[in-house]
Amino acid sequence: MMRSPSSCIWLASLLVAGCAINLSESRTPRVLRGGEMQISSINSVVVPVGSVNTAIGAGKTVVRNIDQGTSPTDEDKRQLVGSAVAIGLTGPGYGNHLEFALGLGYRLDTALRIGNGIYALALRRGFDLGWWDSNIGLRVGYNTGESVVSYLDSINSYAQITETKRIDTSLSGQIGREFGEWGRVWAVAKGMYSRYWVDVETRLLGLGSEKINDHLFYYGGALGAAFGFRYVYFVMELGVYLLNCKVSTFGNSYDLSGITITPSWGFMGTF
Amino acid sequence: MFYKPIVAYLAVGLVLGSVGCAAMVRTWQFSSSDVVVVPSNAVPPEGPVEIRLSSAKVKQKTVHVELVLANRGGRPARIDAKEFSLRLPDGTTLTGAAPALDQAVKAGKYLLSVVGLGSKAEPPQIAPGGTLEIEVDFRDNRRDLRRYPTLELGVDAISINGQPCTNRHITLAAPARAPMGQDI
Repeated sequence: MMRSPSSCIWLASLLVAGCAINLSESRTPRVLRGGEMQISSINSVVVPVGSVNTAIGAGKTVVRNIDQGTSPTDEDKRQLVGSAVAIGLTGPGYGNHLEFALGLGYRLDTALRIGNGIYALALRRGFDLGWWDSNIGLRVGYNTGESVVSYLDSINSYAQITETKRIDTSLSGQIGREFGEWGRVWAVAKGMYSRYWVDVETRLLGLGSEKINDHLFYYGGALGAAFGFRYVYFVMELGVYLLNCKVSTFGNSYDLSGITITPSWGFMGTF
Repeated sequence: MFYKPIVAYLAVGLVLGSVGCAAMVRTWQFSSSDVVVVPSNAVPPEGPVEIRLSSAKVKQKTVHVELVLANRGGRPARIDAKEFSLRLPDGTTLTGAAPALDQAVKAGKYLLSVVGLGSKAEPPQIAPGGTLEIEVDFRDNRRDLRRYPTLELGVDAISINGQPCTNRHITLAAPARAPMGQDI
C-alpha cells in the first residue's frame, strides 16, 4: 500500500533521529589504561516530553486528517513540514551504536563511535580520586543524516528530507567507582551543542524547499551502572536532559525546549 | 562504507601501540637475576635446589610468573607449594594462584580420585639434575602493575623436602624503557 507523502515525512523523521546516540554516554568512569581496549554495543532511546510532544501531536493530527481524505490547508501543510523537521532533529527515536575505545596512557583514552550515520570521536582525561574515578571528556560527532540500514534511506527519499548534517559537540564530567570486578556505577553531567543543516524538499506537498541552518543545546546528566565479570558487562544508563531549541521553517517558529529522557543499554567488553 | 573509520581507528591504535608509544604497550617482560638456593648451606648429595625466574609477563592487571626449580643435589627433592605472594613497592601484597587451567585440571583429578577413578595427587619430586616449572598468576584490579619499577616475589610458599623458603624472595625488575608511575 502506498503511503501518503505526509505519513512518510512523519515516519522518516521518527526513524532518523540521531541525537540519542550522542546523548548517551554509557562509558565506565575509569579511563582506560595505556593499550587497554573496550568495545561496546549500546542501544539508546530518546523520549522527549514537553513542547516537543506538542509539536509532534500537531503533526500527527494533520497526518490523520490527510490520511482520512481531508484536504490540508496551507497552514496544515506548513505545520506538518515544520513539525516533521523538528521531530527529525529533536523527536523520539531509537539508535544503536558501536564504540571502540583505546587507552592512550597518561590517563587519556579515545573512542570512536559509529551508528545510524553518526561518526563521533571522543577524548577523556581521567583523575584518580582513590576509590573513586573521574574524568572530563570531549566528544565531537558528525551526523551524515544517512543510515547504515538501507531501508531507512529509501524511506528518507520518499520523505524528501534531502539532507541532514549535524555536528554535535559535547563536554562531560563523570564520576563513579568500581566494585571489584563485577560492578561499576557512575554519574555524568553533560552539555551538548548541536549545529545542524537540514534541507527540506516538499515538492509533493507543493511548498517548495527550504534550508535550515540553526543550532540546539542539551544539558543535563545521567546515572549509569554496569554489571558483569572481569571482561564483559551489561551496561545501563538513564539520562535526563533539558533541551533548548527554537526552529523556524516555512514561516512558522517552534519552541521545542523541554525535557528529553534517554535510557540506554547494551554490552561492553574490556580487554 | 561505515567500516572504514573503524579500520582506520584500529590501525592508528595498533601503530601507536607497536611503534614507540611505550605507554600503550600491553605486556612488559620483567626480569631477574636472583637465584634462591635452598637450603642455603646444603652441599651435594643433599641439595641444594635453585629457584630462578624463567619468565614474568606483567600486564595492566595481571602478572604471570614462571619459576624454574633445579635440583643440584644427588637425591630426589620433594616440592610443596602453597600461596605465593607479590609485594608491590607501596607495601601492598597480592596473593598468587595457579593459572585457571591448572586449577581446573587439579580439581578434575581430585574429583576423579574421590570417586575412585584416579590416585590422589602427590607433591611433585625433582630427580637429581632435573628441573620443575611452577606457574603463578597475580591479579589486582585497582593498580596498573606495569608501572612499578620492581615487584618482589615471595617464594616462602615453596617447601623443599619439608623445609620452607622462609623470608626469601626474587626481585622482578621492569625493563628500562617501561614508563613508570600510576599516572601513566
